[in-house]
Amino acid sequence: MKKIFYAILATASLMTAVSCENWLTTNPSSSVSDSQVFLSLKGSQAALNGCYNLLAFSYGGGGRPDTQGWVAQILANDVDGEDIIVNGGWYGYDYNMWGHQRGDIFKSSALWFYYYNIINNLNSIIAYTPQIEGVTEAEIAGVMGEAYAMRGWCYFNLAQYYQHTYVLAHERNMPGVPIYTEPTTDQTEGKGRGTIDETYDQIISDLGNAEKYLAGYSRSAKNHFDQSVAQGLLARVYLVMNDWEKAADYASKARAGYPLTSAEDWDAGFNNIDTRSWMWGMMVDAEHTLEANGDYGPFSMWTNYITRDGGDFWSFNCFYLNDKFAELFSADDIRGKQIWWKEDVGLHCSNKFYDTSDLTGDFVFMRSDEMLLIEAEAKAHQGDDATAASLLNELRALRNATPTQTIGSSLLEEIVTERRKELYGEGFAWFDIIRLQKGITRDGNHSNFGGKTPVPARSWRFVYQIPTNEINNNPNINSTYWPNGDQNPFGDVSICLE
Amino acid sequence: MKKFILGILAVVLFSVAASAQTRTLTGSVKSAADGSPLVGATLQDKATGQFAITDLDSNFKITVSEKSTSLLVMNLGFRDYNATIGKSDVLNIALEPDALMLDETMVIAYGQGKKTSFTGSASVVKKEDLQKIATSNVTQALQGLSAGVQVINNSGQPGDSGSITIRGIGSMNASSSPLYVVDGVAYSGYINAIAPSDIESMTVLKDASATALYGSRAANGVIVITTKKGQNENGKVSFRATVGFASLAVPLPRQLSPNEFAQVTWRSLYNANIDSGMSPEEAGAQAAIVTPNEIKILPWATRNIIDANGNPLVTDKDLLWYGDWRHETMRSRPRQEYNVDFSGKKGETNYFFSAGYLNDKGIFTTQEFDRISGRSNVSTKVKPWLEVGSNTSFSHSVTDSPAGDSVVWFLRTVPTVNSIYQYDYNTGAYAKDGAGNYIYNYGLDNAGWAGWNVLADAAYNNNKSTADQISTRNYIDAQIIPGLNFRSTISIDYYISKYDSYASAEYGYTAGEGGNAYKSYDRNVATTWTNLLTFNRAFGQHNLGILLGQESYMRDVTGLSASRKGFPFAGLTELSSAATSVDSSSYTDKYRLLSFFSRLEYDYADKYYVSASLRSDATSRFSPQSRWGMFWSAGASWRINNEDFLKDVRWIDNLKLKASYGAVGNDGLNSWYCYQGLYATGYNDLNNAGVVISRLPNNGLKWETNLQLNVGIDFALFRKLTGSVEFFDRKSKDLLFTMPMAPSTGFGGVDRNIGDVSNYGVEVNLDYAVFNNQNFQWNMNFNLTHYENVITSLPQAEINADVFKWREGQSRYNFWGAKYAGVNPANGNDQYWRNIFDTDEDGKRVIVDRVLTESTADVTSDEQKQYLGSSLPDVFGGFTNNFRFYGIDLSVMLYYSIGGLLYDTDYSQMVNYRTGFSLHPDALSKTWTPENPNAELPRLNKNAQDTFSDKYLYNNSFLRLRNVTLGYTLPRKALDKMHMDQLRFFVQGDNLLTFGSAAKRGTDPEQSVSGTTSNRFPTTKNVTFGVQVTF
Repeated sequence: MKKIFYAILATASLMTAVSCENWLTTNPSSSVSDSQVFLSLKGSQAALNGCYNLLAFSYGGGGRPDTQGWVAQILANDVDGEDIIVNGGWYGYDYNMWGHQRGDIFKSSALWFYYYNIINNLNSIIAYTPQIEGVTEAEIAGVMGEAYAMRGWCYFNLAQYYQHTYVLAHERNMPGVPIYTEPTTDQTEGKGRGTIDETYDQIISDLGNAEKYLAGYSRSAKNHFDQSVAQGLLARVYLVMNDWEKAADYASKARAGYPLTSAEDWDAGFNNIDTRSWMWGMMVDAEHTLEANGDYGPFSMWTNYITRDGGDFWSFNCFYLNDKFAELFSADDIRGKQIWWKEDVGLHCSNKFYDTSDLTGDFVFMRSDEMLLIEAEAKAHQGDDATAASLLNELRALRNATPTQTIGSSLLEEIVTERRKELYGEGFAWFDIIRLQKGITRDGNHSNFGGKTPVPARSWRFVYQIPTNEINNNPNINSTYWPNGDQNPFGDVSICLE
Repeated sequence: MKKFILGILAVVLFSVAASAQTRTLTGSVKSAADGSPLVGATLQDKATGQFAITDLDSNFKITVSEKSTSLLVMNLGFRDYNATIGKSDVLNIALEPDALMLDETMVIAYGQGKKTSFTGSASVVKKEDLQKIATSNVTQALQGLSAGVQVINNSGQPGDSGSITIRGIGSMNASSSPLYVVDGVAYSGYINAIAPSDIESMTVLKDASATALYGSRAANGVIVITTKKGQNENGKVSFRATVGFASLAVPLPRQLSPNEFAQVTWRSLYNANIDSGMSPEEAGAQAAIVTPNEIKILPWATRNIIDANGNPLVTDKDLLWYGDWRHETMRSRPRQEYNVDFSGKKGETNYFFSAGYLNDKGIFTTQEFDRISGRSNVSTKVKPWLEVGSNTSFSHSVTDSPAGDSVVWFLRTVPTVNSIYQYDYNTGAYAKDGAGNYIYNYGLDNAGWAGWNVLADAAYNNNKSTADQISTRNYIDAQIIPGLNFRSTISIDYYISKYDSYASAEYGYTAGEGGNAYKSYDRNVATTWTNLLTFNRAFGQHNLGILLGQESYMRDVTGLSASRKGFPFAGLTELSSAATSVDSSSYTDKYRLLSFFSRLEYDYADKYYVSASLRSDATSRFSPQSRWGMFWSAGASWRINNEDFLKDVRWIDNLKLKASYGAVGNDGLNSWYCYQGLYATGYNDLNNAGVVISRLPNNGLKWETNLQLNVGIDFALFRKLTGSVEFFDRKSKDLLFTMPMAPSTGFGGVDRNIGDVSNYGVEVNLDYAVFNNQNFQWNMNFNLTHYENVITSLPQAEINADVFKWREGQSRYNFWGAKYAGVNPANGNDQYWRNIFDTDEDGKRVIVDRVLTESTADVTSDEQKQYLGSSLPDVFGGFTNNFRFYGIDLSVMLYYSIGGLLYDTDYSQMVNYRTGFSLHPDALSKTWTPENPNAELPRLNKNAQDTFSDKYLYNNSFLRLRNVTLGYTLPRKALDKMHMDQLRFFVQGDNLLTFGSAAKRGTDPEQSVSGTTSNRFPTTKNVTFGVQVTF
């Protein structure tokens, strides 16, 4: 008995004692090995889809609703401008010009990592997709084109956030942002800022590649890039670079096939990606509603009861319109008619943005009307007032607004103001103010809500500092202020670029 | 126990050999302290070597020879006694309790050993001490009881564990928590599933010699929890019941009244206006206009609440409502615990069965921890050579509505102008719904508070975690030849934890989408199979012990979660009732360890002890090339008092020198697949599945090794004072370290084996028996720990880690920031020291001077910052006094922590104005105003800029009256009449008093090792009444 017992035990322990490397090798169930991803087009497309997810939902490490995805940046870009009053909520920090551009505040590093995280994912796609075997060139071109377009978009936004506008920076040969085009390994060292020209070369090269690769390509959905969107981005880039000819040219190419936003569409609440004038946007489904994921979804910022029927949905009543901005609309302008006075708080509200009844309202990132305004602005700069005015009036007619009669600089001013009236809430205010070197003047009732602080043109407050954690861990970027070093100066609002 | 068995054997053997010329003595052995009978005491006739053991009634019968003069009487926990044999054949012996307990056995790795022969460092905490604290998680009770063990009880959430650090933080990015071993096997369950009343002892193993046999996971020390087993031939029933009440140990700061809130708002706006260039008159008038807009909804009938000079125009008498949130949410509710156990020994079978029920309601509205637990521990000898045993526990626990950080943040910063219920200005009363109930105010119109009402959330929403756990240890132990044993143990820790949340379909933020429900199930199975071969034999004065072992550990966790929204009816919370799917996911993860180990122990003549161990481990966390690690230890001790030259020094009862050195491992990175390059799934583009890069490949990653040195002395003097002093030095090699990368690479960092960190220090433990009479006993325990943390090697010159800067030669917990220079009395602004630089002869930039600046922008660059001091305390420990006077026992324990800084953001968030958020009373009394120019805090300012400095760094020395226990045990005579062994009534109070600067600010001093706060739900003060019955 005893012997049998020992025999069994001895055998059993021997079995475990046989070291089994297979037994010791475990794999995760919710991740996939990097070596598996680029074996097929499907894998490469999945990696690309991941980038669109990051574009839509990544926090960049900020962890706050006002840094979640491009939509949050759109809202912040607007409240940083002149036309919106923020009364409470996360975006108050931006609105009050509290100093969120500082490198040691969460926002600078959240924006920074948001883009560079996407860029690193794109770099792998761009490096490994051409090596996939057994697929057609056209299939590869689609993935490559989208990846190039998104990378160009990332660098373009970085350039606008982390440096003065191109024209100023180019004249002074100022630094750009670090450029990475290869996938990061554990040996990758942080790169230096280079020059703004190098950054814009990269942007134009990426978007140019995208335009080339995406010729004839049909995207899977409107939240992806296609050739029109790449051209639209190029129009934006050339507008910033003051290359009026190319800006007008690309704006016109980009909106081909997209009608302007109709009066009916204008009143529909800006929540449907199928709107015919929308060139690029982001749809939302029940699983990804930004309203329900945490609090403070984008639509709930607006003081308008969120959905048309109101129901039990909450608006957080944060975003109002400045009284001076509300006065810009002519009497019959359908856009002005959406603005109403809320008696109890004594502020103007806007009904431009309404969510759908199931909180799955979509978001617009680019539409034909913006392209038309780029074209008009560029034509006016080129001295072609007739075309510029007729383009502007084409839009005004749809909005039931008074047609323009002006020429020259007044016309240009009207076009720029039209951008505010047409595009408010869509993320253009901040970049436009920087591009136009206008400074921020907040008149009217801003002063009752702590938003009065004026920012002079060319103030360093228009430029985010390079995040402290980048400087600390990147041997090629130092913390000394430009022009002696790499860091963007930060100081009082009045400190400006000479 | 062992003594007992040997004794029985001896009796059998010697009684056969008994010769003539004898007489028989009878009698009994009792405790001199309380007269209780001592079962199993041994009596030895020194002349003949005859043994006897007392029976169940403590009686004995022993045959002695004519030559015999005395009997040596021994019992564990009592002093040895020489009973003189007189003429009488009846001997009634009383033994004095031994306050020193030198010969106590203790639990060591894979077995038991005598305290005196132990070469390592360990401290034992017994059940009596653990039971003094009314906690639902036994780790909290360890505080102050063991030198070298830093316990931070930073949660008042019922069932939460304390944060335990043994001899400092030896790891940077890998885990720094100790390994828990329950009944000999590494534990992978919930600590709060173990009923504290089931615990016999907790042993903290601190050095390499003690922990080496758990070496692959023991780098941060080991806490061995040993549960009770049956010992008493009589059989015993114990019952213990307690009922208690809790409140916050350190109350939150007082709430500002609505009037005071209007004043701080006005003042903040006024100062911001002054800064934007307004004249004082303009600034005051403007602030008076804006103040009601800032607050938005006012609890007064007028919006004209403050004048241009900041004087209130309304009084608290005019209030329409007063949002007394604290009062409504924080209620003392009872904590009840009942435990019963049945234990004993029948022949070769030991048994212990227990059942327990705990209901701990905490102090925050619906917060609750509820536990039902049971245990059965049985062991028996099936054959003379074969022993089997099984120790299995079950627990079912429910954690309901825990109050998270956001709730505490809410309670600290919600202003009293926010009404709890919706107010109807028309009726001048709270609004009511159709059913006549008040309607909660979700702060939709209160500035900054849209969606917030913790009372409404508690009332309408569910948030419940349930854990069902079975933990079982099963062994067979076979004796191959005497001294050579084989033992095989299979242990399983199994639990299913279920999380259930529901946000209302009718009320609050989620009403709009028809409510939502989220459910998750996680299943954890950890299986350990241990095989041990042990050989123990004495060769004359030489004792030899050899252990060979093999162990495999596998842990599989799987999870499933889903959420849906859109419930058509109130009261339904199951997913199938909801309209729309929001999310669903599942995962499976696996962790494996394979180990081979050995230990050699040798001692000679109770004087010289050596032990050595060697082990090899493989982990699934590292790549096949680097997954095996080798760990070892060596230790020695010398009992000097057993040497001839000290044998006659009567006042030295014990004197032992000991030293050990060894290497233990750590693979505890936050990922189970840390060497693999990975893409995370689940990132879809709203149509199709997507993946994103989540980890860089890293094949070279290997075990982190902790090299631990321990040198100590144990002593016992005058039969009164015992103690130990130990020095330790823990050095980490191949530290698992997240090497930071520039974020522009797309990665924050990559794990590497780089850098070294060292923790060294000293521990002192003293026990002093002041009085030890039959009717009055007074014992003191004092312990003290001091340790330093030093980074000895880094992969780069410095690493910024949040508010710390890591450099070689510095502590990882040394704060780094701007130097605050106080408030400028002239204008109330913050001032900082700004360094002035110049270039010296060598062309180096050096600080030549420092000047005051009021601009934070001047001091945000790194060269303007400096080390501000460490969060680690200089010393900490406990001081306990135990008294026993007749049947009354009293225990008073103090816990102290001296030095160390706390960065108190719980406080700073309440002295800086933000629209809509309430402030600390100090914001009124301690901030700068022209009338209060020497204020401690700067003027309130809506647009104030701040930067990290030592402004809110406070010395966090504190003293806590950790526990007072007062008990009364009925005398023996009374108990005998009631047929009871013990009946004790007691009352105990935990955390009754707290002294120190943090408590004055309304911040609990126990926050975190790193000295940072995060609106934690702080620890509680408990008063508990109880009764303990044994029969």
